[in-house]
Amino acid sequence: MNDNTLTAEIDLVPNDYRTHFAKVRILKRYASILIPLLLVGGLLYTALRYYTWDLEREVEALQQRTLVSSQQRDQITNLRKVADEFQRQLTMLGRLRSGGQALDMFTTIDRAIPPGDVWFRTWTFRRAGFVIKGDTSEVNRGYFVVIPANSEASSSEPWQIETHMDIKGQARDHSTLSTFVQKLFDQPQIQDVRVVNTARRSYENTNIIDFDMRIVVRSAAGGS
Amino acid sequence: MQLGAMMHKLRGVSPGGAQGPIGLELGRDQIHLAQLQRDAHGEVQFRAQASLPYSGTREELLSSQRRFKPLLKRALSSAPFTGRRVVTCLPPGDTRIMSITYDASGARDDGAAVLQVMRSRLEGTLEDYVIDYLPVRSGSKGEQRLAVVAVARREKVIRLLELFRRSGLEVEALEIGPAAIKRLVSALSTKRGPENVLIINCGHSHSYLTMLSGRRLLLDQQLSFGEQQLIDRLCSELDMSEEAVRMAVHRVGIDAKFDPELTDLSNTGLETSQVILDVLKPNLLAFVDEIKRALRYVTYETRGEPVHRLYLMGGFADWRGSDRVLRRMIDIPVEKLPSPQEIFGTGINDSGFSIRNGASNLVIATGLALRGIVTNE
Repeated sequence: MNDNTLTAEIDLVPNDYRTHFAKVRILKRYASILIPLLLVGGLLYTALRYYTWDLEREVEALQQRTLVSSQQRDQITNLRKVADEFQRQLTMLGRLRSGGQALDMFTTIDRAIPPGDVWFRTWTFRRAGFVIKGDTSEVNRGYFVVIPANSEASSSEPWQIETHMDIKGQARDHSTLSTFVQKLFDQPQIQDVRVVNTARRSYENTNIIDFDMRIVVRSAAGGS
Repeated sequence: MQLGAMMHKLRGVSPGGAQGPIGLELGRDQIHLAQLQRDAHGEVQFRAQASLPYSGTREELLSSQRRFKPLLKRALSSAPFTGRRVVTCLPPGDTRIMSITYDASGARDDGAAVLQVMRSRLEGTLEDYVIDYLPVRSGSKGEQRLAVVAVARREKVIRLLELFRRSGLEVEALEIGPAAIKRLVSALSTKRGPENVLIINCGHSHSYLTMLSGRRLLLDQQLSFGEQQLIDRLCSELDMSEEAVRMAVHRVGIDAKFDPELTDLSNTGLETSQVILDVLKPNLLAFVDEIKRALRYVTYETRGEPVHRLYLMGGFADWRGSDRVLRRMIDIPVEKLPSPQEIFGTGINDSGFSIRNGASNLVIATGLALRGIVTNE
């Protein structure tokens, strides 16, 4: 029963029914406000997500491109280094090639050998640290220029281009050996002669001197 | 559109002023709708009204959503109704209105005392009913108090509310016919000053006496007097068809001799009118006895104040001369209740306004529509 006063009106709508539908109406009213808001919010969220995703994709693509550029730059740098190295080696090779040939050196050395008093057992021809191993018995076979496999390691160091010949040989005596050394010094192509070691060796009827010697040859590529 | 008009539109208010709810009455054969509004000067006037006949009976209509909804839609679209808030009432047969006396001294409040009385008067439990009441006489503690109580079966109330809700209406209040009549007559009395008024609503098979003291509803009583009862008597006494009787009643009425509009009526016409009155006299006398009993009750309740006026409405009120005959029999001023359109005017919607049926058809719908428009002080 509804409350009534003297001025009240009759109303036969049950209170519980009225309350229930008043709540339903309020809910609908809020829902009619909230649902569009949620929909708009959802759409905005989706749009933002899509926009963000799109941006992220663009950023990713840019990063990828940057990475590719960076890789390419590194590759270019590396290639330039390789090219520089090759250029340097080419220059070096050119310098080396510009030096005197082994045959000329033997000719020069041969001129200094006292006839029949000095003879060689082995020799090693070296140029600028690059080993040129010639046949110990055949001097006419030419020489090999060996480029080090690890060019990186030496690329930063100045090259000491030096052409020298290590000789192990025998001399009749110290005087002969000294003459030989002296004659070598007299050759304009010879820059330096270093007798590394000498030793006397006795045979049944004679004595000879074993020696190790390094002959540094003056060449056009003698600088670093 | 001007700013003011736009603001009105935004607030759901017509440019003329605030409109009230739609008053909706499910009459015996027709649905009646009325909506009022206040104009710029605060005067109440009609905004829209409509009366549409049912295709079947009222009971069939109320039990079928598929019938009710299209009818309602047609009615609402036939005039410039605004909003979906309605004030309505149950059909007369579904509501019982009774005056009860109760002693509030032993109860927590008046409501509890009224329920205590009603418990003994109703079949089944109180939970089966919806009950509301209007205090009529509120004496001091220990005195008997008086209330008009409206009772309806809960299932019928819920059925009607659900029918309206599913049809898109929001029921603001479910009233009783007498309350609507009281509101309309009170609005009319405002122009005449407070009065004790008896309203006789002559229905098809029953009539209802509604007694108002100022704006207070003192009594609502059902009488076994109806228009159809009078028609049936005339048919049987005069051996005429119902159609012929209705035509005769409509043409000459029951008091042609004193009808200023029928001065040129033939003698036959005058005689016919007199015959009709003579035939109906026993019914009218019984009816008048009931009215006089009600008048005595009112005099008692108002401590001797006279009843100033008797308003006649309903089917019998549309009979020519019915008011004059009753005035002579009762000896107090008897008037046909002015039509709501006469009371309030049609306002800004004259172009879409027409009175399709009898003037009293819209009385209850208009009274219902007045809820919220006029105060009940």
